[in-house]
Amino acid sequence: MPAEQKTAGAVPPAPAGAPLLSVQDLAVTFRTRGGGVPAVREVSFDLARGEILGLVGESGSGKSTLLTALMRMLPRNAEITSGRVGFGDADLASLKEDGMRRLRGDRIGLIPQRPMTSLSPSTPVGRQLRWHLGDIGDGELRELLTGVGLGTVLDRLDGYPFEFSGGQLQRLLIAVAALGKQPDLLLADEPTTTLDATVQAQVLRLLLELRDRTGLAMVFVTHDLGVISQVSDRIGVMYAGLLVELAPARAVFETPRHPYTRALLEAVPGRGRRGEPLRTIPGSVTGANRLPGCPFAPRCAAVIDRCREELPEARPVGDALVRCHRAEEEI
Amino acid sequence: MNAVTVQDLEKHYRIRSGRGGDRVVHAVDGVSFEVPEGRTLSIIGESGCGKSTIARMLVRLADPTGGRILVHGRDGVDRRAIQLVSQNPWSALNRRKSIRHALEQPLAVHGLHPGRAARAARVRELLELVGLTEEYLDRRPGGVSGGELQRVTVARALAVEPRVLVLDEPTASLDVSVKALLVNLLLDLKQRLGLSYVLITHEIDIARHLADDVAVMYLGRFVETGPAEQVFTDPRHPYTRALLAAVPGLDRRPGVPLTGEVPSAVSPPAGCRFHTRCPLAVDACSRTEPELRREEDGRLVACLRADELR
Repeated sequence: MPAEQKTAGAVPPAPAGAPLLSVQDLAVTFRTRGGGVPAVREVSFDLARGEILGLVGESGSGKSTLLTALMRMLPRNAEITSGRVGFGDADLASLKEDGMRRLRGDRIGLIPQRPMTSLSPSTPVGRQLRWHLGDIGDGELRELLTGVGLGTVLDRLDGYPFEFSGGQLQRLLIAVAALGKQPDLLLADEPTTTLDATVQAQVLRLLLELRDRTGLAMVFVTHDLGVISQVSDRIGVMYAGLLVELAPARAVFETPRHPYTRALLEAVPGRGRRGEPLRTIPGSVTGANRLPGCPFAPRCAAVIDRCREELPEARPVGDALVRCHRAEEEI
Repeated sequence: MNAVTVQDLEKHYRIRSGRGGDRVVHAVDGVSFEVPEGRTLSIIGESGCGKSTIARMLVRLADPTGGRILVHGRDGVDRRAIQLVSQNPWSALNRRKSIRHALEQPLAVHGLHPGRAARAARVRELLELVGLTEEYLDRRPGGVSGGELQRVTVARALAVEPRVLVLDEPTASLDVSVKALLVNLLLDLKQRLGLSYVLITHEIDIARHLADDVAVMYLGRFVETGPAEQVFTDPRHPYTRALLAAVPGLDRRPGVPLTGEVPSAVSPPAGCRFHTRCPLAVDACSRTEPELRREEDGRLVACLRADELR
């Protein structure tokens, strides 16, 4: 990608204080034979420069779809059906593909879940780095890789992806996504899920260091509550396509407001007494996207009649935004 | 009586290598342990440490290259005594066959509950045991959720009335809320059927919740074993400490992560296998391989500096 486009800037720097990313009422629908399935509904949040927002939820919650929508890399059978995604002057929800292409990689980086499938298996790793980083000097490349703790592989860049470990490949991708073109926003989809515990800890630490060093903002998607508690400034909890709770990380763990958030935290093993049954959430999420009321109502311990009929709006409770009719009550 | 006794278990894989002849992967390199009846031993460690190879050898999907495995005191292969539940239920079941088929198959193979009516009754009983209803019988794996499917693989493992289950990452593919259901099922079945478990996992929280005893594995060897309570609350071996500190927990701040990654099992480091990453390594660690030695509280630790770590 030509360098002048980056300096010309499809997106002028936002005025101080304005959010880097502003998502309003975003909806994504999948077309299926049985009709449209809303995968993301009425999602709104802002992201400040240098902020890390963690999105957590179980399979089918829409967290990965949301991230893919922000990157505008949705599968063919899915589309953004409403909403706005403000990024500088641009609206990523409606921006034309060539405008989007100018942003991807340059201003918005992506770290995928499986580094191995994001690289070509038959091209030396060093050549692939240069595809993405353009014509960079050896010194610069050295600096880049040392910056992500890969000083030791500098002499192996003519090797193929299979000759590297998962942790090393993920660092390579982080170097490309987060440092190469110095984007403002990094989207990370379960970036440490396939890594071992000790390597995961290294990568999480690296991401935090990069944020501190470069002021990069991140949307970090994971199903792992432990991981999200380590990296996030704020946390969004997703259920059946809705952001049911959005709050500072500490508040989510100390005073979870939404019944789903509470149930999820109680189901995590390792907190209660060994050998005691864990708290579980009855029922399943299947079909919840199509319910007229709150999608969590059929499984909720605090359900009232209103929940089955009326989708709750997001409303402020303390530091949190909560989509629950009973959010203010002590339940 | 021990449910499982393992002595000096070893698995070396020979891999063909272009230059300089074959190479040997030291997947499991002299591991001994016991699982007393009714208890759960959890083997924890990172990928490539050899823990799944142990699981495969216990159920004889892989033959040891050395050592002995006794199940309820008996040597030799007894597939009814010990059964495996593996990580991925989708690949463990034939996706073209019904759940009924999956549960009938082991009964047919072992000639259990002969006769159509008796077999059908046993299949229903197995489903009930894992909390599923008859309506699942005619479904195929594709039409069943991951959590339910994992229950089916548990039911299938129980079909031959084993006394020991080897659980190889049983919850790794499941969501948090579904994970909790399976953990509860495993606790319940152990109680009701008097089972013993060997639980192989990289999910420390699952081990923390289910295990009576823990063995921590690194590059083919145990570095620390002992009662779960002791090992989890006061880890002794530097690797155990690093591993537990690396696991992000809701109320744990992460420690300083280890540097580097697990070395190759083809040429494990000389001396202590962990010395290349150990923050406490001294010169002797690269020369002398530490033996597992009994500590004052009964646990076993393989570290030359164990005395200083108390």
